[in-house]
Amino acid sequence: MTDDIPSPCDLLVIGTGLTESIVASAASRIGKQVVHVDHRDFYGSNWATFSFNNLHNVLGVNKGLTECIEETKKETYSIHIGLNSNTVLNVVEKWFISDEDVEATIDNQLRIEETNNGILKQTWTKSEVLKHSRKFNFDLSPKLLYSKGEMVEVLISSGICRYAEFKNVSSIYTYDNVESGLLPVPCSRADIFNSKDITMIEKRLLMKILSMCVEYETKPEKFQEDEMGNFGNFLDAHKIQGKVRKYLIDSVAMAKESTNFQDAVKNIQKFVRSIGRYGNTPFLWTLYGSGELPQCFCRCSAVFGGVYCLKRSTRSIIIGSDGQATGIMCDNQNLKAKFILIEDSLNPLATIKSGISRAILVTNKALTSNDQAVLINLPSLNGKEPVRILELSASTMACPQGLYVVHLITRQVTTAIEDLREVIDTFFSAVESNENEALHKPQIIWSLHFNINEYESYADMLPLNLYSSPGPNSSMDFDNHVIQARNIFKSMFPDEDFLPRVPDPEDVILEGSAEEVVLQESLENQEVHNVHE
Amino acid sequence: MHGRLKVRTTAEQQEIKAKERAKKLVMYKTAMNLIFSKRKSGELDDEILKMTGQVLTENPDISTLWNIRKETILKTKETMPDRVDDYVSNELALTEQCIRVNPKSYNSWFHRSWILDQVSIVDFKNEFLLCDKCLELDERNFHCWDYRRIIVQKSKTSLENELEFSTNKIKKNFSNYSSWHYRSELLPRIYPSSSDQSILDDQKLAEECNLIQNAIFTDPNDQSAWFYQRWLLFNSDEKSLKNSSLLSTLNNELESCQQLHDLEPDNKWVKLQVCELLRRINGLGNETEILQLIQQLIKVDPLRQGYYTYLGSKIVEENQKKKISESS
Amino acid sequence: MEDYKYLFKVVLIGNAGVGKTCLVRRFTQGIFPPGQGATIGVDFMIKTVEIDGLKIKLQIWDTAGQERFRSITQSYYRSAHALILVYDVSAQPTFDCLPVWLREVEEYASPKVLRVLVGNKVDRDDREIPPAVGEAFSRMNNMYFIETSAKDCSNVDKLFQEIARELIQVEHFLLFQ
Repeated sequence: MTDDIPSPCDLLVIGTGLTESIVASAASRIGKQVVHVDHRDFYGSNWATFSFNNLHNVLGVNKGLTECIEETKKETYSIHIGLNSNTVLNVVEKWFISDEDVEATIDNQLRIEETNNGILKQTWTKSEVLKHSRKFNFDLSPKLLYSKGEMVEVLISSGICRYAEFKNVSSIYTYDNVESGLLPVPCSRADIFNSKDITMIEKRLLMKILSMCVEYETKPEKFQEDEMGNFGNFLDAHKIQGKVRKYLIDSVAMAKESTNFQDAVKNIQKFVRSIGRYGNTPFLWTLYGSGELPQCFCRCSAVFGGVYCLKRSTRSIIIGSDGQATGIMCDNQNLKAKFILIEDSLNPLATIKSGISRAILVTNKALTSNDQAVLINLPSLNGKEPVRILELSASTMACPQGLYVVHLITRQVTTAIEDLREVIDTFFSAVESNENEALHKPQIIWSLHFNINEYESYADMLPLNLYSSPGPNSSMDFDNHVIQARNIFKSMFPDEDFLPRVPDPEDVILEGSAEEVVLQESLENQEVHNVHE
Repeated sequence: MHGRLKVRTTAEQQEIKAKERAKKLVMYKTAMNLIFSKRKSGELDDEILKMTGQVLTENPDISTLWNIRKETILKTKETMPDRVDDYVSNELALTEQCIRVNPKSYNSWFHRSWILDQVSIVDFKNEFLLCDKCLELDERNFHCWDYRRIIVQKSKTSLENELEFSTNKIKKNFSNYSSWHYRSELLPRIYPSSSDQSILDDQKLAEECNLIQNAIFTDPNDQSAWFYQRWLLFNSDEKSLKNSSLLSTLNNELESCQQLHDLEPDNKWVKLQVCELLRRINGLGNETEILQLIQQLIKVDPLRQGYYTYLGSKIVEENQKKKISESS
Repeated sequence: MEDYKYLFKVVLIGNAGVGKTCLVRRFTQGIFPPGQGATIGVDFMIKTVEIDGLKIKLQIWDTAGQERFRSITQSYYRSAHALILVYDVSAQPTFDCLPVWLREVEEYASPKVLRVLVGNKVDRDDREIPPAVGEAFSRMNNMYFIETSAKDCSNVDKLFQEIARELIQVEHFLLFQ
């Protein structure tokens, strides 16, 4: 392609992660000319979803290009983009099944065994798994959507939802230390009614707390000052213990004992509000992985005129004499823009704030009898961080039939391997043995551990028209990112609507269509009339 | 305007809609005239079915048109008995469509029920499917519940199956008065007490009490749960109370209600139920406590003060009578 | 009017300027828009065709210009029932790029997607790709082949009608599996 990227433009976006893609689509939507580049050859940045083969292409390989010192003109200077910096680190990959024996016959590639119960069981070999590479969709940053959360509302109002498909998270579990087992979390009223795990009185208490939290703003008088320190105190004041306390902290509020009361209440409200909209739990999962969403927003931007260029490396940002960014050097082209938005992992003025510890496992059995998309919230114990597990079956398009993809997410303390070792050992088995069957533990076929850095940058350190776009954090949902994208957009274009409602396609009059011709003619006739007058 | 969509304005949209409406009105008037003239001249044929069908699909509540169809079907039964099945299929399809348009149309449901009587072989599986679908859309559609009762009877479906149906409905949503009501109709027919046909057998009663308690504790503001509990516990007369198992059930329920009352002191339903339980168990002995609760009810639910006052005085009167009969 | 029997998603790919948008607009609106202006805000166009008495709604998606810099999203290929790969018969480079496009199709589209190769702009007299060459390429790659001109209408309706016809047969086959 010898085509040049248009310049100047209104907004230049560097990186195709979620937050910056939302901003790009919002800007295109209101008629701004957007140019969106990424040095990678795939969309999604640190939010991307990969097949097995693509994952290998990406990890461990530094896609950065060498920094290039540009000649600086008088009165300008450049900030060099360090594409060498790794945001995804401490990558450890491990196979738990044997390599295909090169001399084995083709028949042996798929060994089908009968277990004692006469159930056919498929044994997977490494090459068999890789043969189905395309059927795997591994997320770097898997996240859920609250059915009545910011992301869903924005997807609906902008019409972007038609670019993707979603599935309900079928059930939510927490962990019962006492009985050492997974405990299903009742989400809806019907769940609470039907639950055999809690007593009548516990049901009443649970409902009572949920109603109180939902009505928090309208009936503040029901809350005492002293209850509202942290969430743990609040629950103590209302004598909430045992399983109900667990449900509320681990799963409904998705919090810790020490979480600020207001934050916990907000999450509870979102949880309760979202139940029943699309299914029994408040959450949706994106089919084919969370990496679909940045692509959806990018397409929306393209539909409204955004220009898209992958495999274009931004080497430096050029600052003018007035301290404003004027543009970038992208490969050998100087691209000018009024506003520049750069993903924070590429922002040379951003610093590492914290990290996320991640593991992706491919297993041969579901942890629960529920076979679709399951969320397990493991409570924080002994001051450790809560760990969240997302188990995905083939019906979510995460893997081939018969296998499961398990994501583990927690805040980084040491490294992913260390942070997640205990949880993985508790629930999964690495070695196939009879003991394994007796314990019903799923067996791990393959695992990948890695860490993702979280960055922060201070707006006052940047030129006014240069913005940093936040990468993925450790929360389980997207809402913060939608809010951040909206804030960035509003800062750039304060008087404009953020992803306004899309008109009904049947009400759109297309350029050149018969209707437009009639409209044009009637306008012309009016003009003629006016002249006569 | 570069980069902006052109969209029809509200005025343009309204104009389009107005034109559509006017067109429809003309079509309707023409059709009705033709239908009535044909009926007058006895032409109860395929054409009249087609025309009435078109009008009814838009507006299923024109009773006369349904009657014309009934007349036509009856005539077909006489003149072309071997083709009746085809006609019946059409009627089923039409009523189903009309039910989609208005699930609460008396005419559609009635016509469908009438049609079932016109043939000897009915596909009840399909009828149940239709009912299930309608109830999924609106759990309290009494037309649908009534129709279900009709097909249960006609198909001689087992009551146990229907009980399971009501159980599933309740599991999905316990706030459904219709489901509980249906249950109350079925249970005594399946599990009558050996001693008294009008009440439930002990074990089933205990199970149902447990079930309803879950509803009451999960949501004490749900009326349908309280009504069901009242039916379970207060259905029998004075004599049955001599039955000690019923009395012990009432005492158990009282204990559990009092627990709920402790948690929800401002809830009128719990208070009222505790009142009624105390009254049934021992109205005379519990009179003081009952009257205290009545006073609390008046405070908590002042709009129904009249009722609570009446209730209080009624209980006092009952107790007077008891005192008199005991002393005599 | 929601009275269609089937709804199929059809996506178009191919180099910029081969006439993808013109093909769609010729088919759905019956016009050939002058100039190369981008259609802002239009995601896909719809047209209902009738095949053997069945109403088939075709939802035809456009690349939104992302092919200009080889940056089509992989999700664009998802859940497409049919995929139309277009080249310009008067522009050799657009034909030379076909293998690259096919690699993307292999990678991202469903293996069951119906693939059609279209040589567009047959109205022009500066043709560089003979029909036989296009035909041979399509055979080698298991694709249907047709040449069209959005400008003079030739084979445009036929292209989409045949796609609809083929897709119904696939549907019926799946139903009877």
